Amino acid sequence: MEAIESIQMTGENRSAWTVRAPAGQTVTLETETVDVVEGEQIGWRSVEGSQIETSGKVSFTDAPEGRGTVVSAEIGYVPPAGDLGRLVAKLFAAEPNIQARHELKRFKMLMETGEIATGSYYRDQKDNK
Amino acid sequence: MRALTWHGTNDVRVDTHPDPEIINPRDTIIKITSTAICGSDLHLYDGVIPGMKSGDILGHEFMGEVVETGPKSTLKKGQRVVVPFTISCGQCFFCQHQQFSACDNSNPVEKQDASEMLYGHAMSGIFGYSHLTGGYAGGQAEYVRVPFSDVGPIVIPDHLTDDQVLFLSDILPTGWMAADNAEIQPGDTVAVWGAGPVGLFAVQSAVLMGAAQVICIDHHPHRLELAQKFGAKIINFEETHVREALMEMTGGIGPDAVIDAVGMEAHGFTPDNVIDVVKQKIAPGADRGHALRQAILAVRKGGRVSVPGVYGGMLDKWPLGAMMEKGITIKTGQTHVQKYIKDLLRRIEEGEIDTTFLISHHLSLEDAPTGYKNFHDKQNEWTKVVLRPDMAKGA
Ligand SMILES: NC(=O)c1ccc[n+]([C@@H]2O[C@H](COP(=O)([O-])OP(=O)(O)OC[C@H]3O[C@@H](n4cnc5c(N)ncnc54)[C@H](O)[C@@H]3O)[C@@H](O)[C@H]2O)c1
Ligand SMILES: [Zn+2]
Ligand SMILES: [Zn+2]
Repeated sequence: MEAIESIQMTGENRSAWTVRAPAGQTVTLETETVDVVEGEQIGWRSVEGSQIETSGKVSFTDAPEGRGTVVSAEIGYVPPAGDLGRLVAKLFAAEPNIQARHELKRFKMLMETGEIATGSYYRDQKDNK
Repeated sequence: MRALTWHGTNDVRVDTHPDPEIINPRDTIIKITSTAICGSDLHLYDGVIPGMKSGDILGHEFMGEVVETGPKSTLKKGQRVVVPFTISCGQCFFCQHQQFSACDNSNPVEKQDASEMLYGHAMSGIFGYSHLTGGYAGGQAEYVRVPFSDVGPIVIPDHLTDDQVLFLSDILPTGWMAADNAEIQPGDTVAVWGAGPVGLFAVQSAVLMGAAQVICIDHHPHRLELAQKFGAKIINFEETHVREALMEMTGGIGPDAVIDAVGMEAHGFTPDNVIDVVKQKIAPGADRGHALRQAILAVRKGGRVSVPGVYGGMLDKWPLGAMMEKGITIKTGQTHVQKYIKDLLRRIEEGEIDTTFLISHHLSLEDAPTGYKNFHDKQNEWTKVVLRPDMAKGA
């Protein structure tokens, strides 16, 4: 995900996330995995002390006629109050549907080809959007 | 590096850009030895394809030497390769069905929204062909970054010259797929609109596929002469009524298959075309379909229409009734280069296909803007321009 600055495993099913928010700020949260069904779905939920309260799941089902795997994502969050809330709202409200679709497409690319396509031809090319 | 750069309508220049780098594991960097200007580049030059930005590097027909490889590339430094203009991953649903130009994974995600909105599904990536197809830097340059280098590029044996194989990158497979889509049967008459590079290769391919009669339509006498060399009969649309002539040449039935190798910038002074020209000037995304309309009216009942010519947007006065009532089949698309390239290289090696007849000019990369201007303004004599970075300016 483009907005993620870093993820660190903090325990067997726990990870700490640092997410880039607008205006150069960052938001941190810690999640634990829940509702794991081997080969079918992975869920998560934020633990106490996180700056955002979030939960969700990614599930995997067979596409019809053996045409691959359908990956669906459900992402829920409760924005905190105050300044941070406005910041987080901005982060997610920038067309959350489109963002989620983009992330899923990047995931598909990575799974099918081992890389994520870019039109840039040198590493620091920033204007190619 | 130096590269031919788009600045706006009818404004291309050779500028200095950063050298390309390996970014993804399957990438390779090619040092260009030959690159051509395509009729498709003229649509960009004329500003009728949406999604261009000033500073974009053009060029989708190129070949050269491998100078750098990513860890997952299967190429080796020093190999000579021709690169297909369509960028294809080889692993998605479409690549697996040999529909390489429909690849799902080569157009960067953030660039897919525009074509998804315009066409209902996202296009694949194409070199040097607007941000609708990825904003990839093209090969009219000294160097180019080639993604998925284990799928696209084809290695060329040393005894074949650049001029013999360069057109495997696009126009030869495009002409071949156009004839393939025409589903030619023994005894068939095939009519080809446009005696440009694509039309001429479609003529050559239709002859090789066993068409009994091939008829080529254009208004440039020299280009028509080239079609004649492959055994085609010709119609100059400025001198002859095209549909009447086609009826006479087919015993009153009409051609079994027709090929539109003209595309969205048809010439001619018929009323439908004059209206289209005005529309295209005021609204980008409006196509000029005079040749295609004529082809649909000319084709016999139950016939096939093959459309390699490029269209980008909307077309009106579309003879849908003629298509339905005559029971016509239409096939089109950007070329699935990777599907045809191996077989066509073999045909070149065995001397069955010659592509060098087409080249009218070799220019240095530095003279590319002159090449664009003349390929655009003097179509009759400038049939195909090959640019060579190793030639001196003005040579
Ligand atoms: N499908 C693909 O993958 C693919 C690949 C390459 C090129 N193309 C397209 O194929 C088309 C032709 O490319 P090209 O390089 O040969 O271009 P070109 O511009 O050199 O040739 C076009 C020819 O069509 C002729 N023409 C124009 N109006 C006509 C009319 N009304 N009737 C008959 N002939 C007419 C012109 O005089 C010219 O000779 C372009 O639209 C190009 O974008 C498609
Ligand atoms: Zn081309
Ligand atoms: Zn693919």
